[in-house]
Amino acid sequence: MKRIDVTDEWLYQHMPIVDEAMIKELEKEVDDTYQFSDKFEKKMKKTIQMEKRNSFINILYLKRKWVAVFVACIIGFGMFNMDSVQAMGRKFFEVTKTFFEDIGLVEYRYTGEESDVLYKVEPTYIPEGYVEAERIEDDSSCCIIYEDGQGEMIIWDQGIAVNRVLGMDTEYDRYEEIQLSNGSIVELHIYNDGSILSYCEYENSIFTCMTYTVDKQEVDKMIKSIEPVVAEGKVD
Amino acid sequence: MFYLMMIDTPEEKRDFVLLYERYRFLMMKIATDILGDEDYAEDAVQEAFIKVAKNMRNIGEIESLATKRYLITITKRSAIDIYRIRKKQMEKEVYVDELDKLKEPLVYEGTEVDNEVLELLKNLPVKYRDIFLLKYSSHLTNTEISKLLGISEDTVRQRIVRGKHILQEEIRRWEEGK
Repeated sequence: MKRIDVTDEWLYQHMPIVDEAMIKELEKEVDDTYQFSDKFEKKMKKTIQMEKRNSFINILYLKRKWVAVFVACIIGFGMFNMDSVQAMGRKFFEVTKTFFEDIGLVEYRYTGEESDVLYKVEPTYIPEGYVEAERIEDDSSCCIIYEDGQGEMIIWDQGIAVNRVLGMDTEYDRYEEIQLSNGSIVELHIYNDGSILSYCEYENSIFTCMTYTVDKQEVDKMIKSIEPVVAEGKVD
Repeated sequence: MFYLMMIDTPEEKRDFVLLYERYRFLMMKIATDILGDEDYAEDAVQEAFIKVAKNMRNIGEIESLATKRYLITITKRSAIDIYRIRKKQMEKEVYVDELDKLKEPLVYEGTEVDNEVLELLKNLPVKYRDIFLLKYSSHLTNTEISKLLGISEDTVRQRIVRGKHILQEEIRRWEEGK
């Protein structure tokens, strides 16, 4: 009889068989009716909601994936009228926006003079039942999390688009737009789980607002509530 | 950054939700078997998901054996960490066999090797078997295994050598007894 030698090759061949048998048996004994506690469900919901939102990520990571450029264009940041921008004494910025379609990422790079000053803008209308629960800010970004009593969140983000990459989930079910009174457009990405991402650019910043159970009309009101703030130059 | 995010790409974010929906009950079983307490087990599962979120780049196919093994390992580590804190066993390594509480024997499929040989593999001491599963089934490198288990690469290497030796001895004994 041929004797067995325990070599790497032999183990690579047989360990997966043992692994599969182990996991199959474990899965048979899983209680998939287990009711997780409210505390657990809320914590996980928060983790998932925070993770699902679009986010700026480290550009260095993306350098490895510099492929599949879909479109690059020059956009002028200044979605509200030029008068108000000039009235506030700020420049009209030029930014190269590159969309990497297959991995759903948008890169922003200044082509002109950079500005690293963040002019914070936040909504003055918040849907009923929601209150500010957390604010995370630094010199280049501001994230405000509004929560209701059930752990549902609205996440308002603003960040300077200086050499940044935004993770953009392009697998949305519907695309809509909100037209602001000055003619500017806010994109709405509506996903099949009911979440809505609104997205706009203003001056040197990108704004996103992620909501999960709030309907489109409420999102519309939130977005429009920043119009007077911007138009009057009442930014920080 | 807007906010310190753990997951980078939208695709990974979607996969994270799928993992959560698909495997939270399995992870809960693993953690409960170790901790014997549902509250602590939920803490372990949540901790495990945070670790998974930080390492989404290591996740392959949602339904693959390697993904399941990875999640089981991360959950075991999280549960053991909580167990050690509760029992104040910070110095000693703790090994837990997730098969201890199984009610049925394992069924091996798709092999011509004698099941008794595969039982010898399964019955390796846990500290060796865990590493063997990660290396020879999930195809992780020694560096990846050391990070996942929180032990040095030297220890990983030593356990592979020692585990092979133990297994070879067991197989010899089995062959001679046939």
